[in-house]
Amino acid sequence: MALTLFLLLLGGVCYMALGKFYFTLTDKEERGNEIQFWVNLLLSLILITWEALRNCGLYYGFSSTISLIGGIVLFLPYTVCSQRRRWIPGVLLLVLSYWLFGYGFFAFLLLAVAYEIKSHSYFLPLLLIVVALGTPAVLRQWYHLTLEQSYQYPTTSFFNTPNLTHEKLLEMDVLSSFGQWNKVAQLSQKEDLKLNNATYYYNLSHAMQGCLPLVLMNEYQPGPLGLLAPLNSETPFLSIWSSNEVWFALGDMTMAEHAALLGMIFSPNHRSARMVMRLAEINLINGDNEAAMKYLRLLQKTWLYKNWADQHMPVRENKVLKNWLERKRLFIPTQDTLRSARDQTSSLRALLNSHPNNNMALDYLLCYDLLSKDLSAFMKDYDVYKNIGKEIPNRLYSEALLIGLFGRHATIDEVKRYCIPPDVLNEFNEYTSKYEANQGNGNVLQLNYGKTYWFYYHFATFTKS
Amino acid sequence: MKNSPVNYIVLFCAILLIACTPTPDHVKRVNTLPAIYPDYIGVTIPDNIAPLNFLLRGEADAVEVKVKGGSDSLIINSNTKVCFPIKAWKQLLNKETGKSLTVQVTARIHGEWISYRTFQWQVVGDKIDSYLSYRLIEPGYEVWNGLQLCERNLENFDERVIADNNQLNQSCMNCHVYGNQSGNLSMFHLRGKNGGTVLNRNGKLRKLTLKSGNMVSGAVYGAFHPTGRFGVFSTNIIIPELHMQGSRRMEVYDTASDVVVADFDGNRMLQSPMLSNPNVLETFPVFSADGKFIYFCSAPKVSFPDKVNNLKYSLCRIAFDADKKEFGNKVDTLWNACLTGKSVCFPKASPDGKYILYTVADYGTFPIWHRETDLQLMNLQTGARDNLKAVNSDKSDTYHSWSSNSRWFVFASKRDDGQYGKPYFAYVDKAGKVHKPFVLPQKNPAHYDETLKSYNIPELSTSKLPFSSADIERTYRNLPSEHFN
Repeated sequence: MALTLFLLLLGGVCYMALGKFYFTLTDKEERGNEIQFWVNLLLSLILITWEALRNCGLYYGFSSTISLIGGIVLFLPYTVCSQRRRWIPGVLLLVLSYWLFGYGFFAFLLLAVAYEIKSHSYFLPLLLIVVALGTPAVLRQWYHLTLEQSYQYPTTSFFNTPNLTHEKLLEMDVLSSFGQWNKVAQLSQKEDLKLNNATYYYNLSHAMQGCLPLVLMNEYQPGPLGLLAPLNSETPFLSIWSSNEVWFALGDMTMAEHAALLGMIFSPNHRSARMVMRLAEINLINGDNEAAMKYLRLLQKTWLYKNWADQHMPVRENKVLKNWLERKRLFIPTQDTLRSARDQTSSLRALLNSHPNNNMALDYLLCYDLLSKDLSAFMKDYDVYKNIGKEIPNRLYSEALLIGLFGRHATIDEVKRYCIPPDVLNEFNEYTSKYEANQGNGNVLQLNYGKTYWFYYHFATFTKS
Repeated sequence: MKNSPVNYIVLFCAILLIACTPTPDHVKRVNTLPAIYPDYIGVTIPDNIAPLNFLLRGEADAVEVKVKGGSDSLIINSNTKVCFPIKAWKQLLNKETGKSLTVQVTARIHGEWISYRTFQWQVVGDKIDSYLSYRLIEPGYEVWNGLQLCERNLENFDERVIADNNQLNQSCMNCHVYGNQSGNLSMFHLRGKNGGTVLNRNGKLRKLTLKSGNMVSGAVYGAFHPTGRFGVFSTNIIIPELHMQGSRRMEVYDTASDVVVADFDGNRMLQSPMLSNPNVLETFPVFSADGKFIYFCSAPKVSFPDKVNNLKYSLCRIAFDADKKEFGNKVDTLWNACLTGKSVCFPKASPDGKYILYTVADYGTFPIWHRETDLQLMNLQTGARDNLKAVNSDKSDTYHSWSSNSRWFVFASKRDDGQYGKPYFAYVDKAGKVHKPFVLPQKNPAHYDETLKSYNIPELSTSKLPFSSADIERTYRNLPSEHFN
């Protein structure tokens, strides 16, 4: 809404600025005016379109549009100054437009230079160009910008086009923020983007519905990166931004807070209402009301999030919120241990050590082991955290257990102890025979076994993109 | 000019403004203190401090504040934010030095004027050093993005950025420390490819690689010798980890650490076997006020990370002869962790040599994320310890430094929200009594509510730093780093 208004404003001021130019396109004045009108309108529409496309950029700020409007607006008073001494307001307005609007001063420069050349004045355009080239370099220290940044601040790019992949990832992100996991699951399955972040949503949405191991092998899996995003400065912004969701769902509030803080730190201008909301929630769950108040007070000062903040104020919570907080507190670790933020499996194990009934953490741990092809870790974790002999393992775990048991040279009795369904055992024998018969040719096996863990274990390769 | 329309307009606006500012009537008196933020109730302040602007929490929509002294007073009528005009504030404080100011807050809540119990501001003539440096950082763990080192004038609200990592290839910057509380002697570490320790001596900047062959790492925590020729540093292998329990958040510990002295004139690192025992962790070194001793923290190594709770540092000292560049041959223990069951870190000797201020935590070497962390003051002449009840809070209180007159110290406290550190100033009177601290005043009293930055390692200085962020950018990009042997 605001963007639409400001794009229209941009078009309006551009049209007004172009009105200061009159080109003699025909001898007839009326016809000339008409042509001028259509030319100006067309140029303004081109500018609006260009700016609208630029706004499709993930990092493109609204301030860039305002900057452009400001630069053009300052050109309007410039044209009413007397031609003889126009160099004085010209230089002053140029510096002023940089001071007020940053790179938008190039719009002022472009219009002023064109205006002067049209008036057959050639010295002033030269002067304005020299001043324009020098101004950012001189003033950049006020704003602590690098030389390159000083010529383009606050914009981040000069051309963008809609990125449908980003749109889909953002759609999954928004749906997940509203807890609509079935829609996230549908979308991630439908789109099949083959991106770490998309797989992250696929896995998370199915885990939230309790069926992660049942569907894990049905979609593209980039190793364990589709389960838990690594948190470092090389990780793409959208992955960092969404990374807190999984830790929040798993009950690891320290990692969730770590990820949310990074989500905020790497957001444009280091501010993100979504992350502030998440930080407030985390602290409410931890019972740290003073920390929660810090974030809620910030949100209370916004139009869009004030109601949410009011509803989440400690002591004032309604029954629904109180119940939700109680549910979330059920999986807060009771035992305190230390782990590196990079050691994700230790975090998952620590969650399970506090709450062995945290099924989501167990599925994440076992799936992490499997996607890392760390069968020894899988077997060890399975032995420690699963009720062996008391439950029939699902298809994925059965497949993995068979590889693990085969590796252990397990006896028939040991295999029986794991209650692996007989059909999976038979299929494993078939797969092994075919694998050996075809001398490990994956193409032959893919059709029938492409969605088995056996196939993943044998043929998936990790590449660094 | 006399009858200029401009004069009438100004007069009209002034009348309009006064007419629109509500003033109390039918006031109801209550015996409770007002809920002001920051908490400036009953604090002791120097007469050169910037105005203690504050806001009123709750549902007030108008407020009147009267600050009465013996011979002067100030009255502010506003909405919930109370901002004192700096000129009138200065005049008031100058007139009332050594006296007590009485603050009366009257607020309008749901149309009713309520007058709260008055509170006092004690104004003392012992001035605080005029400048404060600190690092502004978002409290993330391990990963950073925007970092700034800033210098704030405490007599007004001017803040200046002295280094911005946006101009330094996003490199990590460690906190800025002064020597002798002077802007003419300071340093900070710049990490990354073109990094080094930036040393400022009288405005001349040098970039130093403070590492010799057998040090476990580059220089980390450091402090100046009073002569400015030497710096004492710890060298640490630092491991950051996260607690599983959310309220405890982060733990940082060293798996190896020693103490070394850098000779800035001779480009040499001086080492002692007494300070580099491989079975002992030595860290947080500082020189004594006369430069004849090095105070540091020392703990026997434990098994990491499972026994980190047993990592308890004692406060020790060793002699140092600056002329001979020699260390003493025995280590004294001033505060024994075995006896107290606690752990000490970050000792800072007062410039008059009378006190040493340090932090006490349950264990470990990273007090800022330990909620139980409190400051403690030791009288070096008597050995008496003060737990500073008036100063400490239920959150982390640490990263302190002294003013040049030893009457004030500044420290970072996470009180209020437990997340974001803020600089607090505490007064030590002639009798050694430490008074209730106050937070760094801000022009906008809602500043601490709105900022998402933490103030790290606040340090006081009598003079302004003689360099700018542009100088630091040039030093980073163009100046080659000097190597030490």
